[in-house]
Amino acid sequence: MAAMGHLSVSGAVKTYGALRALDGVDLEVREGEFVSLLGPSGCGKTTLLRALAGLVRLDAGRVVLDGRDITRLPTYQRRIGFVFQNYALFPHMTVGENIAFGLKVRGLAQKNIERAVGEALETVRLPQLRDRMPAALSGGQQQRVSVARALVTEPRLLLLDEPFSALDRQLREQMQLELRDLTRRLRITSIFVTHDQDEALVMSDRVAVMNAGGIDQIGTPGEIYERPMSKFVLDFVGLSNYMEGRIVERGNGGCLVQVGAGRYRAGVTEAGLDGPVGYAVRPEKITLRPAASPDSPNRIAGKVRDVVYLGGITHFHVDVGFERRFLAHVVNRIESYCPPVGADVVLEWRPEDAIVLQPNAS
Amino acid sequence: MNEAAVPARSAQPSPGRVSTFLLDIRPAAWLLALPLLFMIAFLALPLSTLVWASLHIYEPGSTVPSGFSLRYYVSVLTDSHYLTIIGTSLRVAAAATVVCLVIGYPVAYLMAVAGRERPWLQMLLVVVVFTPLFVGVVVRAFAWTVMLRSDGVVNNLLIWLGLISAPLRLLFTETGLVIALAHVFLPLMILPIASVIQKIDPSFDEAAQTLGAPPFTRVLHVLLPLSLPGVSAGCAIVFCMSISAYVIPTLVAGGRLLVIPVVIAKDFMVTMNWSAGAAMAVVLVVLTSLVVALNTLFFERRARLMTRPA
Repeated sequence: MAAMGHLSVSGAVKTYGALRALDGVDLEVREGEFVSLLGPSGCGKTTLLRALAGLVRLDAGRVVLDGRDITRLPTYQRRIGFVFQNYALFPHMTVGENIAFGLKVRGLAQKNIERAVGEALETVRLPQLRDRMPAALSGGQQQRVSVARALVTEPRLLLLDEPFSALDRQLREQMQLELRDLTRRLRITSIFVTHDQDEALVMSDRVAVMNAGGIDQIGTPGEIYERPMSKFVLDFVGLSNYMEGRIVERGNGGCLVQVGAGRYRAGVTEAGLDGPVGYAVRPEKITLRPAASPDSPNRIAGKVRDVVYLGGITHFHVDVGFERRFLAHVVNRIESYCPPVGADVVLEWRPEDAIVLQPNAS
Repeated sequence: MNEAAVPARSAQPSPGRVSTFLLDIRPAAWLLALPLLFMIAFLALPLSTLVWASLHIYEPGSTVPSGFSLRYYVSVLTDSHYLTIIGTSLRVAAAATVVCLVIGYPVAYLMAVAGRERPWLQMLLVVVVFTPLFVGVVVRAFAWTVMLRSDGVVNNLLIWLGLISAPLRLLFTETGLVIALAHVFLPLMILPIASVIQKIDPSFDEAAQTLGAPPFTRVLHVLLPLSLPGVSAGCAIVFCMSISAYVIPTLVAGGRLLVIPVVIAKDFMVTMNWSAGAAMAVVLVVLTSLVVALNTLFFERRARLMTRPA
């Protein structure tokens, strides 16, 4: 079975003319791990995925799978599974023939192929569609078939190129959970390309945020969201209230950051940082109060400019002076304080929820 | 009722809808008028004249028929002389089509795929494949009569390569005719295949690669089936052109190898037996239509499976 699947990429470089699509990428993926490559279009995530598949030839660098250097190995010898953005189901073959294709080219006996195809269709819960043509399937069904086709060959590595981007939202969320469960159950190493941060957070054991041909940060969804290490990661994953200032004091397992006239405490020391820093707070970490509470170390006063009701939560846009606007997300519960537009409020947050990072790191 | 009256009667929606529909369809119908006239004048009329002529007896030199008869069809379809000619024609056209397909397919593939990464190679191939079309068919056919002679380029090359010891008789043979036909009509095979291959989504080939298929398997099971519409079109064109070619068989095979168009021309211009020529011409039209229809039927079924729900 697919018990293996340890992947190691080092110094991967790919240039297209003057464009450096991959600029020395290093990536380590453990057996059975689900890693997302997250980034805006043009960041190199698809190029990296295609290089792992051998569909793109690297200019420099090494790709090692289970201890074997596969950098120059042709795609068809790599024992990988690939799910394409447009599914790429062979239009001239039935669903069953599509799934059987990878087994047939490996020369399996017809009896075993039949059984494996049947099992694969059961796995993606489409046994009744075996004799249909791909053109007769819905988007979600095509998606499932392409996953079945990729998995039936028991690849050591499953590569997925934005497989859900063509599906509508509801189906997409359902398929995300389905695929996550499937890859966990089969313990198959998976690399998943997406530009959708929610999707990356939902699916992944770890997320690699890519920017301009490199990996900016790699970590668990929690690490990526709570402890972004660059302005890019902070902006790309989730919303935040961001200010720039400088560290004026360290100690007690934290630091004090001066922003204009205000001083804000953070629960991290960020030893590497000196001079100007970025200071950020996620909107849901902010508590709105009618007046300042005596024990809060971080607070800022403002006036509510806009209230956006979204059912489960409400977004408050608060002017805090100096042409700055803070965003606060408040869960709609009976005890929550929900001021009207124009109200004077105080925003408070805990030092542990503050993010301190290099201000303009790429 | 004209359309101008309709807005005034907007209280009644349904006649208004009909009129808008007519308004929509009318310009399109008018656009069709000219081609339709052209087709009637230059295809339907001559063809019916031909059918008419094939069913009547003409005295030599007379343009007025002297009686109705099916005897020309009977002789064309039973006389072994005519049947041999029809057989030769079908065989030669089929062989030329196969040769064009075998030679043209790889070229078409190269042309289509080269376009993705090396545009200059594509340009070069286009020039190489299509410049022969600028030279008249008479010139090219005549060139083949020179090259196929027993002391011509082809025989000399084969002897020099050591493949044969004595010159082959190529001129005035089916082999020579097939070679010349295949050369002249090769671009017509390449063009439709290349245009179909160019439109095949590269991700199908990539999917096959990721599923472990080596190059040859991918050609056989992915590229070839997906390019069948181009193959179908190319084969239909080359077959029709080959079976109805007149100049090339006349020059390359002379009068010694008879094919249908040569016989038709002889009936009309030498023996003045218009009815026999007309009957032969009708048989040629029916034969080619039949082959094209079978070809379309065979490939259309496959194409439909690929695009429409089962």
